[in-house]
Amino acid sequence: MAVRPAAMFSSLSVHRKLMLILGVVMLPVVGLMMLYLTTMQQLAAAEHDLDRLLAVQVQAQEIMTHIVDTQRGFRGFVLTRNEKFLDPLYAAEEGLDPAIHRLKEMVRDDSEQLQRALEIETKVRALLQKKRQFITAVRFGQMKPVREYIESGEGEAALSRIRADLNAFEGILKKVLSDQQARVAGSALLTQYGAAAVVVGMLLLWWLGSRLLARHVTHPIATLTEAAQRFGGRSLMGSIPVGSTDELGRLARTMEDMQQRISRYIRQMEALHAIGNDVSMIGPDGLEGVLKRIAERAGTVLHVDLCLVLLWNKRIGCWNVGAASGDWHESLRGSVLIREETPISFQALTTGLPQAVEDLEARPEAVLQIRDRFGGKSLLVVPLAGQEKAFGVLAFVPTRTKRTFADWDIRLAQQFADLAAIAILNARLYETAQQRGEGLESRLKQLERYAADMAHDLKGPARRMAELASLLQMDYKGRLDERADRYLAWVRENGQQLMARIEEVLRLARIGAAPETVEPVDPAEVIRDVLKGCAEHIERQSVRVQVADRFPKLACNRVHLFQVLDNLVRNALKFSAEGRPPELEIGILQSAPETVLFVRDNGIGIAPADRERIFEPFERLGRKEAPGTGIGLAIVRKIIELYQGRVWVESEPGKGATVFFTLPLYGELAAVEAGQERVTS
Amino acid sequence: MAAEPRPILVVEDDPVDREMIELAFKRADVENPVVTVSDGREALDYLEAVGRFSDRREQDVPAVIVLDLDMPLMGGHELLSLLSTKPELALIPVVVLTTSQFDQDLIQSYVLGANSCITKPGDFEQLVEITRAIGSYWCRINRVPERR
Repeated sequence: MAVRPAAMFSSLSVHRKLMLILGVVMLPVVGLMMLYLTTMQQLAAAEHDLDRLLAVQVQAQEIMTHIVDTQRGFRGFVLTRNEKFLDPLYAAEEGLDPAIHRLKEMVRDDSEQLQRALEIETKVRALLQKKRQFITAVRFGQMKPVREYIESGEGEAALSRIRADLNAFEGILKKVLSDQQARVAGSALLTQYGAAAVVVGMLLLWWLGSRLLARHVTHPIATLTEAAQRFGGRSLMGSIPVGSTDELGRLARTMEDMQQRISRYIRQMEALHAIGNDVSMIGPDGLEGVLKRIAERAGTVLHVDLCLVLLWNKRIGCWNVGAASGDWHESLRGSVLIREETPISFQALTTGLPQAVEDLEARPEAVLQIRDRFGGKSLLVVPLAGQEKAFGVLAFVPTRTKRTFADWDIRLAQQFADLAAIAILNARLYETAQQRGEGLESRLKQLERYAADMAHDLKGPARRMAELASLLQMDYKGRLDERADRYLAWVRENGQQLMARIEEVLRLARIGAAPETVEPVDPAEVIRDVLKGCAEHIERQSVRVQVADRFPKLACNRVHLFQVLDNLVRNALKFSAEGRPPELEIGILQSAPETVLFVRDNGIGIAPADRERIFEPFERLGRKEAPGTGIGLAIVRKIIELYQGRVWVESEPGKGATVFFTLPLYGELAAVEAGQERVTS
Repeated sequence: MAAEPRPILVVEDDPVDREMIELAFKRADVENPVVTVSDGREALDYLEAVGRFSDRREQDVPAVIVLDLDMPLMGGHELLSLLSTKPELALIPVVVLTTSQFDQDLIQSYVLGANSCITKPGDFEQLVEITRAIGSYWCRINRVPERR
């Protein structure tokens, strides 16, 4: 029984609880007010009674005075027979009536007192009657009865009786009054104690009310607030300790449910994200692997026995099974489903909206592949869409029991399908790009090989032509005419030029074709070798050569650096300007982040428009008669680019040109090897 | 001992080159006779004295083989590797005379047992110089064991 009120209270709504608590606290206040009112009322009544009593007293005394006056007047008249003594008597008689009347009026409500008043009146009237008889007798000279009356003291006695009656009347009134006063004092005391009791009671009830309020309202609200805050900070409260069944309890249950839902959604989203990542990995198995993973993961996302990835084949208007989960994969992969037999999937494809069917058995279509062939009980189909139209669908097929796909399930499936669609499109793109890249690369290789083979094949005939011409020149010199000799010389020269060119082409083609060893190379040594090779030319033209004192070691193939510098130096010497002594400078610009080597001449220079073109094969500028094949700078660029370096030319036409190039420093060797690997592999 | 000079075996598929090389040897006054064959297989036939060369004399083992690399049927490298497997043929000096300027080809030739590598010059006078040098060095100065 002790628990029940508490249980009943906790089952009340918060509104009722508050009303109840307020009511309980208000109760003593109301009591106190009632008590006060009662006391006030009593006091007012007592006051009224007192007033009346005083008035009655006054009236009684007035009556008494009048009676005494009549007595005195009567006596005076009797003794003197002088009529003027009767004046006060008459005046008293006149005043007596209204005084008695007022007295009666005053006590009209109290029958006992009224009775007494009437008795007093009767006595007074009897007394006055007697007096009038005696006065009349005196006027007629009959003194004897009057004297007897006076002597007998009968009048005095009557007067005394009246006085006594009046006194008694007053006495009764006084008693009533004192009773009344005692009662008022009592209730005033009660009011005092009552007020104190009410204060104490109010304190008690206030304490009780605040306890109840705290326990049933503020504490649950604080708990809810805390739970909300903790959830906001992503730490979850399993259950919120608010056990009541009121609004707060319901709020707590709702919050718990909400938290559970939200955390479930978060978990699902996280899982989805992880799966999305997993699915979109393009492995060595390419698109097929991606499709297979999608089918498997889709099954786990929605806990479905069978999941199909169906890709719409636009060209022939049917489905291709891209992948299926579990054992179905091997038997279904690549097979075809007919459009009419998969109307739900087709609907998802054309509308671009998920299609859910709870009970496949209830569908009227005679032929439903997914029901009849795979034993699907329910079906959820979501479209796979890229930026444009859907290109396929994901079919979720529970095969054991029917299933109602909730809103959230459908949304989850669609989100997964969106991830899957991106993964599929990426994998397709990747495969296409790879195939194209491979095709392009092999075709390029083929072309390069073809060019090299052709050059190689051309070299033999050119050489033979030159050799035969030289043989003819040798054997038949002088025996033919001068013109024939000249032509033979030309044939030989052209043949040799052709050979030289072909050799250059082959050299260019060879750069980077086979892996070369990268080693620390001192450019100073290579420059020395290069200059030695050109020594004759330098001496003949008395070229002023200037080489920097020190070079940092470079990380490259020694032969490559030789080819670069050799070509640049020969180029510089070749295009010397007429009319001034040729100069050649080989130096270095050490400016972060790269080290730039340069070869400078004071030759004819290069026009701005040609500064890119000179690095193309066979682009020989300037004097056509200058020797060379026009492939030297192309070789330079190909080598520099092999090391991911840069080569460029700065020139003022007529004043000379400077070719700059960068190669990796020895310290950067590791970085280059990685790059080299990519180029040569 | 005025022994009969042993022949020089020229292995060359191009008829123009064959004739030029032969002529160059003649112009260079190399006394050794020049035998020409057009590919590696024929060279092997000659060396082993089979087929067309079954009647080759025992003493006509070449003093030096002048070998082109790029040939149909059997190229120079193939012949070189075959020669190295045959003890009686492995010691014949081989001079590779080729158009190829690729280091890779030269390296492979030496690895397979070539004794010298020369680039075809593109000038008959230079060719004569080369054949003269071959004749003088490989046929007269260079020594190989008599019995093998």
